[in-house]
Amino acid sequence: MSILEIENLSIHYVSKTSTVKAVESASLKLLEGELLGIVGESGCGKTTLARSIMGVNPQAAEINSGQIYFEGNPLLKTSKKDFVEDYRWKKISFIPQSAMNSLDPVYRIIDQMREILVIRGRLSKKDADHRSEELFHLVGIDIKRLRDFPHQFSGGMKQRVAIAMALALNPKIIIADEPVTALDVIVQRQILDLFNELREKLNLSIILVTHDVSVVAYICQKVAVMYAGEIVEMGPVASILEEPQHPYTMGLNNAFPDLQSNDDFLVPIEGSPPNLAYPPTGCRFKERCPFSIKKCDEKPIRSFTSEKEVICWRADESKELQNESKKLTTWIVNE
Amino acid sequence: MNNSKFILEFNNVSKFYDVSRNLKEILSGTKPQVKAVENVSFQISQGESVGILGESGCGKTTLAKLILNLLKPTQGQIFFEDIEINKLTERKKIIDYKKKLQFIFQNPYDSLNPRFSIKEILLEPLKSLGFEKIKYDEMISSVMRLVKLKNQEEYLHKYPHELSGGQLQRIVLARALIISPKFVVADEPVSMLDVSVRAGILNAFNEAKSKMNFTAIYISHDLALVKYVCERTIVMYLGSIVEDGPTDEVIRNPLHPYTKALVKAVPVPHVNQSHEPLPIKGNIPDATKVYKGCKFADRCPQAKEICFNDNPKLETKGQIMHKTACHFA
Repeated sequence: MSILEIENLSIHYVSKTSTVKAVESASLKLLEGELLGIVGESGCGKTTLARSIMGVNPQAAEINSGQIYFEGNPLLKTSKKDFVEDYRWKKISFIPQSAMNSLDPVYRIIDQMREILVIRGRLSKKDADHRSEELFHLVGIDIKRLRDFPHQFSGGMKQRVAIAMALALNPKIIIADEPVTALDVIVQRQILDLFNELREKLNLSIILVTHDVSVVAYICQKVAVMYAGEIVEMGPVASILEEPQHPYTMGLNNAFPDLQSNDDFLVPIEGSPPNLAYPPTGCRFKERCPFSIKKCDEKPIRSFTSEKEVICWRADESKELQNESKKLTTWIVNE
Repeated sequence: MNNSKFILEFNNVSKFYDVSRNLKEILSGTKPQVKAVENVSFQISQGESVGILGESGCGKTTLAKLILNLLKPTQGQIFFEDIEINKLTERKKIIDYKKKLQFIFQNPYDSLNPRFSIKEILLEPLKSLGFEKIKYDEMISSVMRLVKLKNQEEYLHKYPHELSGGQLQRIVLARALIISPKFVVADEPVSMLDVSVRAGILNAFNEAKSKMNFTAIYISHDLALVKYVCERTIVMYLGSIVEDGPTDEVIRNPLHPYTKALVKAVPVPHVNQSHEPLPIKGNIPDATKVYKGCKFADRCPQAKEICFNDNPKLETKGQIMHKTACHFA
């Protein structure tokens, strides 16, 4: 059963001069106990999408259409007060980008934990401290360090504290926005292993927002690839990485450095993403796509198979395109 | 004097930072020090490209600053083309040195002056290092071609805020290469950029390197990227070199336990990958800690008594040119 369902969600940032269409008709389903990755470059709308689930987008962000369902209940119809009371932290919790900097530097960790546990969780101070110890144990930090200040922790430890806080009130879903981006590879690996362990132990559903394809490959079961505000391809990680159907996914796989490959060069995707205040008509990737045809000027139709979906006119030719996409000459136009 | 074929030579170089935190520490004379770089020796030959790899806090940026003569070493000597750089006093010689050496910064958004147009940015090194005025235009257009920025005229009159991250980093690259340096130090040049544009910058860097034949030091925390740029890799841990060898060898056949863990931890974009736990314990310790033996011993799965008492030397083990500092390699 899906625990979270996003249906046709569009989010626009409205300012006096322009409207930036940050997320456009995004739909996705998160199953219980699943680890879903949302992968894309900066400015593709992945953070906006993730934050909309928590209802923490800035004021300028207007939800234009669509609905978010948590176990069948439409979240966007709930009043803000009820949402905060019933869902935030309790059902869905959030680890913001650079969680390390989101801890308050002038409070001890234990006081920051109390804030959630006492105010939101309505626990007594004593129970709250007990729960904090339990949580620290769960994420693998010595309970003596509860009385430390954030600056006394290293980056990886702060990330663990942020995870402990997110778990405080036994949520069913955790949304983690770039949780390992600023960490060194060894620490990164430890944190990812922790996510996996917690998911199994607590039957959590996790949405992991990242720009790093290899992080997705390491722990996610399903992945949604976003480009310029749209989910261009979604499906099980293995099929997205090995048999991508969207040219952007092919390019992204190519451009990613791989320690195990024998290639001497990386293949870039030329150009840069479109300005989302004035997105191109038709396919949003067409200007950078080496396979674009005339038809790409029309809006492509999303095609679904049993487990995958993709939005590209040439999705059914993907086998040939995959072969083409492995060649350097496909992506680099020689002068 | 002129006896070596090395362009850059580090001779037991150390750089310590004093980090006294309170009056008591200062007065008692037990000043805690961060040993950012400790007893580092290596040589780099003309035309080589060397990756310096390590986690944050391992001293790789301090090393870069030492090469650039932005910091004076606490101990040891640094030779660039047989001249000891931190003894340079004559202005003319310093300028000569600067003409041969250039730096590429990590963050292109911060390293370009927002009030300068691209043309002014590119002219800056030419003016301050005293190049001939008649050559300016030619130099600019050839370097813009080198970094693959077409429609030059269009770019030259723009300002940094009008360009994307990838384009800005190409400008940073152009500014470094415009004076045809013999030596380029790049400090994490693509870590701020998106994956799809990273590849383009690295390819431009590689192409420029093969055309201009400069020597390069590429500082990074990402082994997967170093692999595409450098033929030799130096791995640092807490201010010391733990491994130094040809990149392929370091990746396929790492000798030091730390490098082994590092290679294992690098995520790869494949589905079938090992999920076994890393053979390494704990976190990087406090940088002010004083060591008698090997700095890695606390976290090392193979550590024996000797590791805690005796600091291993960087020695050739395994293949030729592949050195490591470990008792058990």
